[in-house]
Amino acid sequence: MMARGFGTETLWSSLRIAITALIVVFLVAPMLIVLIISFSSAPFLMFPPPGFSLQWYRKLFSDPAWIDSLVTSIEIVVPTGLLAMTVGTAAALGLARSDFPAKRLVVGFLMAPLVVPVIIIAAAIFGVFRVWNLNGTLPGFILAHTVLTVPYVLSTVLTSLQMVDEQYEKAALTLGASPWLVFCRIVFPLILPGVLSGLLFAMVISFDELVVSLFIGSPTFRPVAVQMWSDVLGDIDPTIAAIGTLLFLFSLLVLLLEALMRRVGIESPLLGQS
Amino acid sequence: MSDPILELRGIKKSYGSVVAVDGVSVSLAAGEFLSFLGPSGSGKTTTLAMIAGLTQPSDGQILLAGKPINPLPPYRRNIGVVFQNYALFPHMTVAKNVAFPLEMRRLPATDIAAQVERVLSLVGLSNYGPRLPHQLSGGQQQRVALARAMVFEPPLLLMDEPLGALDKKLREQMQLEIKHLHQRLGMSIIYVTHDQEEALTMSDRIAVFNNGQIEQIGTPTDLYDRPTTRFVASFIGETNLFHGVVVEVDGSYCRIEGNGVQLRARHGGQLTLRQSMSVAVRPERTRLSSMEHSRADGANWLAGEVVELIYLGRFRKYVVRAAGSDVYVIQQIVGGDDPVFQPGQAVCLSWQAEDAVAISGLP
Repeated sequence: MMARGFGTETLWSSLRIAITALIVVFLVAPMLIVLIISFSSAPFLMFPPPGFSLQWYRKLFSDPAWIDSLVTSIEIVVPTGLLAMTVGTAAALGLARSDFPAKRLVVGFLMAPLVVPVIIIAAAIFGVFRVWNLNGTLPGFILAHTVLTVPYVLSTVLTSLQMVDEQYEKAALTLGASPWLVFCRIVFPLILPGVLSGLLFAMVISFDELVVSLFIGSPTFRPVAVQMWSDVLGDIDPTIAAIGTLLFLFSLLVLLLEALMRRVGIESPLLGQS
Repeated sequence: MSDPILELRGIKKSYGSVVAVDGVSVSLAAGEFLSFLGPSGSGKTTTLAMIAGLTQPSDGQILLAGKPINPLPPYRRNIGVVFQNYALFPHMTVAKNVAFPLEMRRLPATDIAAQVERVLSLVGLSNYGPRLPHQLSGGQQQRVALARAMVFEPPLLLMDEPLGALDKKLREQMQLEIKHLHQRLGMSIIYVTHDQEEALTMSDRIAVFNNGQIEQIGTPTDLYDRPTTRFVASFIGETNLFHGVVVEVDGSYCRIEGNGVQLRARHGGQLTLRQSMSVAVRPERTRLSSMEHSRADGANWLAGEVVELIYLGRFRKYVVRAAGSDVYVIQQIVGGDDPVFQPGQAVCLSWQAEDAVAISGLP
């Protein structure tokens, strides 16, 4: 006979496993299906695919529309990431190491893109850019995406800064380092994991961004997300599955990188000492 | 005497309506070891931060070697600071930490290496250069912090409760090491602590802080034997206080009456008759004898009753009820035939007038 307590315990744990498994299936299965379809030999979307083929990847990399949009995306994502990293880090430093009456207001303003509905931001940016003639241009996209991604850098860098004891900065000052040298030699190396993880987040968010891009894009200037959108609306074939798979792998890579950086951060003396 | 290396003139610091430091003036002779002693919140650390340049004084002047340094930022003051939690840069090795101030001063790499080696051997950590701070013990981190703060040979070294995080045994060892380093190198040091024993052990002079002001400044012996205020008398060591009014002044001695007894004590300043004063006497200067013994001439004596006897190894501590208050008496145990007084026994408390000091301050 099994003890009663033990039986309930088993019941609960199997229930927990079942629920977790269901969630995983619901979340992951669509991605797996996309991945499988991308290697389909059929000329249209069907599951299960009748055979294996790389034709959609071939089509993806030979279709000038897709190649253009990939190039466009890279042209947007890299400068956006760097700009957001710079602006976000500078803002975090200013906010973490000073105290002024409007501080909460400034934080709220910078973090607003996370809470304000994207459609409203998109419409606002579109309106402003029409006056500035920035719709459908690279600088316009970089500017708009920077606004959207600064909150991610700001929050990761702020978190890192909270773990850096201000005493280090004071000590460095008394040892003869000017504030700029204190930043370069002490603060920046200590918050680097946070800065890099902010950079990665900013790049992924920018790459993935659709709503604002739809508003400010033009038929000749469309990043990957917009290209996918119009592709899905028009004649749909497994090319979309191929690009989806590539994006999936890209995101996976970024997540792994980020996790790796966190681990390095934990092993670094910054958190190791207590 | 040579010119002071550091001079504070009426330093004040207030945060809104809160006054943290309220008019501190003190000067430090070259090569002197001065402690700022006081309870937390007494303004000693804030004063130190103002000397280092990490906090701007609201009022007053700071002179380093005769030159005002108020407008200088901390990185132009050339003052070494040892922080309470060491503040070693966690991403740099011990050698890199110690080299940091020299790199900031753009010394050639070969000189830097030689200086780092010299200072690390001075603090007994010659082979620890390649280690990271978190691989060291607390005591070793403390030594690295000390090495880093003195490698650039600052004219003044500030230490903010540097031994606070160490256990008692290590703390006592480090106290002596710092004292010896000071004697060997002739550095001028200001040392902040709330530990009176530490201050007595290490300092040439001690400035006792209370409520943002210096209550008394003097040598350890001055402060222990001749406290001028009630706060100093009770903050440094244990002390017995008797309150009363001045009834007679006679040269450097006075007579104070209160609770039905008259006590003779030394005094340091102008006294007026009927002024309210306290007599302070250290427990180890107080003697007990049985009531049958006649009192010695010139000695103060009180009749009392033993309330408690505490055995402390080399000492016995008595609590005696006399003149309306509890008086502590510490008696060294010399041999087996010392008289021992039991609780309830009537005793005679006495001490020499020169061991008692009249101090101001209300009970």
